Amino acid sequence: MTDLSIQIAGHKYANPVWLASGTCAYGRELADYFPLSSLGAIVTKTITLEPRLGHPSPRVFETPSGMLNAIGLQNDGIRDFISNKIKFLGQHRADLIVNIAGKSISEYCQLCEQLTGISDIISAIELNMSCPNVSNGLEFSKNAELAEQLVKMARKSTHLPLIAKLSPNVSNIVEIAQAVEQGGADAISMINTLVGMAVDIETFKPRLSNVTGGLSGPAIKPVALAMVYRTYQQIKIPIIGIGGIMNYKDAIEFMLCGAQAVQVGTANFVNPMASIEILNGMQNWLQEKGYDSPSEIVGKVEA
Amino acid sequence: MPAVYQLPIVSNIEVRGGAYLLTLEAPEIAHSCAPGNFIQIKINFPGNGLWRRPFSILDTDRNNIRVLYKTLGRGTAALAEFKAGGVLNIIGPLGNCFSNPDNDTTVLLIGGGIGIPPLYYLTKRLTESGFPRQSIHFFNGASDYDSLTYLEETSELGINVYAVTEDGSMGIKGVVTDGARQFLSGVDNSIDPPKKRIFACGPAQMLKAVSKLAAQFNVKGEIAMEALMPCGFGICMGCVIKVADPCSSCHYSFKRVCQDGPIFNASDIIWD
Repeated sequence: MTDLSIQIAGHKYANPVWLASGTCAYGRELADYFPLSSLGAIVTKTITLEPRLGHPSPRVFETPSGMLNAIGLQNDGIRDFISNKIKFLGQHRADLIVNIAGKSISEYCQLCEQLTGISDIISAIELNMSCPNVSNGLEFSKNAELAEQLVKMARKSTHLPLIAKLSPNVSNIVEIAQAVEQGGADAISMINTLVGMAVDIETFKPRLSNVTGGLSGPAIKPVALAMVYRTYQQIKIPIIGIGGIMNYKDAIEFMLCGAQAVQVGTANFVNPMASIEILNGMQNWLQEKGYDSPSEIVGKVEA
Repeated sequence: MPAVYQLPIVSNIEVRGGAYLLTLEAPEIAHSCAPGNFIQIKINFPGNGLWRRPFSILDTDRNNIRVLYKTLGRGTAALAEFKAGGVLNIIGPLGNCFSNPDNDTTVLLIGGGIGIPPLYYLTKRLTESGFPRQSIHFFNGASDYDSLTYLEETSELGINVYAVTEDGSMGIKGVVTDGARQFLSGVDNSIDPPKKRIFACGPAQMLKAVSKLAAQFNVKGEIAMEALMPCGFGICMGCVIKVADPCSSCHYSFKRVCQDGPIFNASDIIWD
């Protein structure tokens, strides 16, 4: 029997199949479909210091093999998360990774400090440096110096493992990856959505109220794979692969390109059981191929 | 509790008004769903559509659920091609449901276009539970006679049915809210507003007019909303509408049509 457990930043996760931020809310709805503890981890929807309303509708649009979204980080803020939402997640014994975003380095640090107060139920913090749908959302992911500085300061604010979530909307993602590694990130998750747009030719209006949005789904998988592959060659910290993973074969591709773990995102919308099916498919595939651990295939693409 | 099912298609036939009636064998859903609930159907069609498509439940019997739809886009056009004996992957039952009016209430159902299904389902449940049929007034609106959906079936429930057509080819001439307005300003002035209830479903412009109507006549209204839904069960936050929220600093917030709805109080919806 293949042991699916993996180690990232000294923490043991039950398996390498996680739920991506913004595609599983705070776990409550998906818990109707499967035990959250079956998965390696659940990454919460982004939490900010103050509550955010998010953008008005239309927030989403279906595109060939994918979708655009511009939700605008709607959330009830860190205080509500700690006093209300965390209880449910704690009860379900799911490994919990909290995704956070701030308007400034200071806000990221305050969020890290507050989460350190409940570090007994959190496995890691994921820094959303890459939301394309809020003003300044991308700044920290575009500028290597700022990215390094952000991680460095967050590092000082918490002992919890830090995962830096990177944007693909940059000229050289490897440079940013190296910067966050230098800053003290324990791992990198990549990629966030690609900036995209769609227009209604009858009304001349953009399909999203925010005009542009983030493209996700199978359409972005080849882009994500290439970025994971290139980054893996240049850094030492683990990579968590994200981008259009719909089935276990997609997940294996990411691992062959260098991902230690994967996050399932858009697939959850189409099929709430997608992550569980991916986990089972991966287990069978590894078993059939005779691997004892998923780590054995990480980065093994023969390029 | 909603779940993912592989459901056998019992039948999928064209009916009046250019609509299709899909019957699925779904005992678990049939036993647990309520008027206002919907299902998400995965329709595989060329061009690789990703999302499921949401459909209100029209009614149920012992083992089956039915949905009524029109072929408005690529997804529904592809759905019409499915035949009895096939199988569809669906999630359900989803969303909240209409509240039950007291037996001494005068009930107005206002449906436009393909907004009839949840109202038909509510009417059927009410009549089955002994709600007085003469107190139910169903306004079924469409552009013309040929486009009216499920008109005869609604009449068969033994309630008051009013066809409203924009071209006057059947029933009252005008939009469906004109019919409801005539009714509200006419026969029942003796009835206290709290003893009247409106339930509505249809295109956004129509629902906006229903909200106004409900406010004007001080009648509590419940509205079944429609939206583009990437998930349908509350995780993507994509299908929101603006709703009055005293807890929010700006007195409104964005609520999910799929999970917080699809039924909302007419007075809570903020129409931009």
